[in-house]
Amino acid sequence: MDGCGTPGLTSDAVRYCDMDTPLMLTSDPVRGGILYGPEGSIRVPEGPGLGASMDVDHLDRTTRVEVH
Amino acid sequence: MRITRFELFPLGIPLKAPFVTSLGTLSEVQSVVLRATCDDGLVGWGECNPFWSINGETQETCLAVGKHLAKTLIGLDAADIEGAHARMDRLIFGNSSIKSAFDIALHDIAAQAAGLPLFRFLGGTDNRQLTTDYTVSLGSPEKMAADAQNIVRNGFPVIKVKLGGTGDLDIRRIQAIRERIGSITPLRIDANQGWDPDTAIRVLNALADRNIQHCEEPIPRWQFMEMRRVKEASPIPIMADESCCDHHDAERLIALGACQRFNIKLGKSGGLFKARTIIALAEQAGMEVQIGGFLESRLAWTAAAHLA
Repeated sequence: MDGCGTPGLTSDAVRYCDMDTPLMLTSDPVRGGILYGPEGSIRVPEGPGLGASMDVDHLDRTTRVEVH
Repeated sequence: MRITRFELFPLGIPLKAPFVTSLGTLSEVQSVVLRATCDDGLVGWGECNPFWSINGETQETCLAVGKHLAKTLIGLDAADIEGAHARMDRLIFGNSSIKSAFDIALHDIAAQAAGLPLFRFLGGTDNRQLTTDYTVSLGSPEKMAADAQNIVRNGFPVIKVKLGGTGDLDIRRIQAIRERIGSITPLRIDANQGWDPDTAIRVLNALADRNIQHCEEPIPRWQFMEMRRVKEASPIPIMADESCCDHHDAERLIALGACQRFNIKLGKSGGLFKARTIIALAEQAGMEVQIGGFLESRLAWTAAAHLA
């Protein structure tokens, strides 16, 4: 039917998903998170919280800004 | 669940190919990643990709402003997301991109504490499969037609096409794409503010029978008073993007009858909290929304997908 195929997860008003830009990046520093499948399909993780974190090896600790 | 530490990291990732819109060309992503740590050990992640010409923010401003936001949020209960937004908005106007990184990290922690996947924490019930389009960057009609053909070959069910040049060239771009891929795969077009109102009306009417789902932001964002005229003269539904950042913008566009649809991006709304208000306003007005974004990694996109 439309770009989402079905109404969205939190609202039936969500009808279209334009979520392609991670597929345009040369590296993927994310652990967990959404999974891209065939034909533009996206699966959302079901663990607690966001279900995604950053691979800290990809992050530059020397330029980190820390507030505590 | 009090936040005891924020860490902001700059993140740069080259793109496989230049991303070209009527607003300019990008060859590398320059984002900011946020890690928030609580006194009970919970850790939340956030990210933003400031888009200079839309957000008015850069990686450098996000790091600088993010330091001030972190100072005002330190010690806060991570579940008090409304309170966090009140503090952030009281501290500094705008800066929705970096505020979205904090919003995502706080939602991550709050949903973990509730033991729920984020979409359930946001009120969702079923984990439905989503489907994304894939975007054709702005270029010559021949190049865009070839790119569209590759996207069809890769199985994407919808193609988004960047437009917003001269009207006649844009019509030729869509003609070339349709000649190459046929008429079955729906298109979405995005002018990124590139047309004046009269050009928008002319182009959209010329493209009426091209199986186009909607057109994003046809005219300059500051000409929002002209959007209703374009909408009423267009056979293709109009989706507000750059003119609809937060819920206040959405409220104004609804009152003006300016568009049929909204494109929600966490980097425009300042995160999930205000994006949900936009969705609620759209529901009340009987409007449809798209969940989009900038050039974030899968981390911020995971938050957007939970909201979808």
